[in-house]
Amino acid sequence: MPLHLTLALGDNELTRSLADGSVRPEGVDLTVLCLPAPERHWRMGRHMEFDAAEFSLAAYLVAHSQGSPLQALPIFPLRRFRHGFVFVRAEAGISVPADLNGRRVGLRVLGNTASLWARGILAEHYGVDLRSIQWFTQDAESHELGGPPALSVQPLTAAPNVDAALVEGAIDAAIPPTILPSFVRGSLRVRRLFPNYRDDEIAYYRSTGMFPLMHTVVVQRDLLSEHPWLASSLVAAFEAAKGAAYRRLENPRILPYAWFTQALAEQRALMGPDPWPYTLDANRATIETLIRYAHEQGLIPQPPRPDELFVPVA
Amino acid sequence: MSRLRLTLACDDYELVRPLVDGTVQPEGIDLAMSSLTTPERFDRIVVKKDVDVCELATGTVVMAKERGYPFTAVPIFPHRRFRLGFVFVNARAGIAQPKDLEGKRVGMRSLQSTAGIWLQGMLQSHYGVDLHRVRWCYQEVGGLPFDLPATYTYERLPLSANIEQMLTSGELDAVVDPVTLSSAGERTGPVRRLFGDLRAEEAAFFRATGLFPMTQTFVVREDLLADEPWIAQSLVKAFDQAKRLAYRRLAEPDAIPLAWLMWEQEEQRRLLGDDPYPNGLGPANRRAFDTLIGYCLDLGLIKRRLAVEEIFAPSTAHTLPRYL
Repeated sequence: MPLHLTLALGDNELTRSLADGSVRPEGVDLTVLCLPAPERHWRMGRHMEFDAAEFSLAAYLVAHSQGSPLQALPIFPLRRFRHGFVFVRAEAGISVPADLNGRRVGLRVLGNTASLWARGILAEHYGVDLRSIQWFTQDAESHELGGPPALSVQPLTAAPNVDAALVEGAIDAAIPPTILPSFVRGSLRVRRLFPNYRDDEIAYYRSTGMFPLMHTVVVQRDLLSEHPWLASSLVAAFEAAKGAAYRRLENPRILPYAWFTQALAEQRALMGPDPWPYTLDANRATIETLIRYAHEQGLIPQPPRPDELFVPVA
Repeated sequence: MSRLRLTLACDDYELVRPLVDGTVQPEGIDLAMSSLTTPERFDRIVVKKDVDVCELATGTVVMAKERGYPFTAVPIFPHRRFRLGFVFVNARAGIAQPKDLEGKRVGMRSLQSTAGIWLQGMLQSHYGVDLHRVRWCYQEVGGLPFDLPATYTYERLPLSANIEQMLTSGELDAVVDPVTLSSAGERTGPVRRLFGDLRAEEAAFFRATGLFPMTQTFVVREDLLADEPWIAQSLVKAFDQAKRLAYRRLAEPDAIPLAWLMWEQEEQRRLLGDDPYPNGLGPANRRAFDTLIGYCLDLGLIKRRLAVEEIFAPSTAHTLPRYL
């Protein structure tokens, strides 16, 4: 009889075959819930509602440092460059990254992977002094952060969210996990810190080799010890789902973009055929960088070794 | 409540997926979705009649309607392509600009591919190529009966010929093909695209002409539409709803494994606006479809200039009235 598991995933082409049942992990009968990121991370991080879930990598680093019963598999279904998600108030006189020093910057939370990467990249590559900035957080952290406070953080009270706060001038910049609604509406009060973010992200990738990891997949640890075969079975299924997604995108009709085939060809020329590798070794340098950022920014008290974080999979 | 059960065959599109997975249901219709390849779809709706609604290439629809095939189109356009990237040249043939195609041997697999029709028309009307001065080397006439017009120069190639090899060896100077030739990606080989910077060229083409050519549309069995004329609008509305849901899903840049999906969307929106894939017969679609009919006439694929209204269900000719 197969093992029955609940798995919470995002709406992501790379995992869709698991959600629609066209790919099934060996020995497992999955109930898949497709949930948006903050809800999914909150319910898994705070309430352990699912057997397994696509989960915030930063939240996992924090949870792991506090002895969480979650264990990650070397599966990384979401990665994003972050340069395009740094927004500044048009009137704030911020033209280069170092102009953020001494300013007020809004975040959804301090502990999300998106802003952890963005802060780390700004500090390491663009001369931003994170300690000189007053950070404002919009929401409660999905996980209580564990390290000694390294940054000056306070709850955002001047406006209901960072978007409104930026438009109204209560903050000078915002680093949200998704694109700002006011920017989408074409507001003249906000602009990107990196207007040509694609070029900047390509340059960053060329110089560092990093395509920032956002999510991993976590499983309740007792399930993994009770069923030693489970980790390999899940990794193989996620790998198969990814293969199906890549094959689907070979069809030039799938996506409603005039230059989709060029975009795919350009991505392959730059990043190779599989920019989303699911092994620890292929991601080790990127994970080490994220661990370093989490430690420097006070999210975790001690940097773990990557091998402690991920179940070894043959 | 009973719904009319219809079978619909089409390709895999994000813009259609909410209909496939049942998130969207057309009013009064219970859709059974099936995926069939292009030639099979045509056969099933015309001959076997076990498919009620299907996707066909726009050029095929224009030609088939003129020849009296028993289906009627509904203005749903799930796919569009500029296609300028599908003109391949041999670097030694001396073709630096489109005009240089005149006097050259240009290979085509079929004379009836919609990609070829749009491209030939665009080369003539936008780039000033005199198509009569090109030697068209084709492998097959195409699926529908067609008398080759005497005003063009044709040369028949055997079906066994490999037009990509002939281009590489210089037997052909250029090739117009709906599929990207793999040799065009080789940096050292002799095969090149006629238009190097495709994004820039196609964007300039759109700014000059306003055309984002529709390559696919849908047709309904004529007898069915005669009995149940409401089907046409029901389908247009449902595909429109599915499209809006798909746009919303794709606005979330995490959904697709393309690192620069957000950038791609922003660039496209700057050029093509919020809805680059409009359905219905509004002024832009009407003009684009009429342009295609004109190209078919110029190429001798049809003998009479059809009106757009002869091709699409009459009930879809106008946008529906509604209160403010």
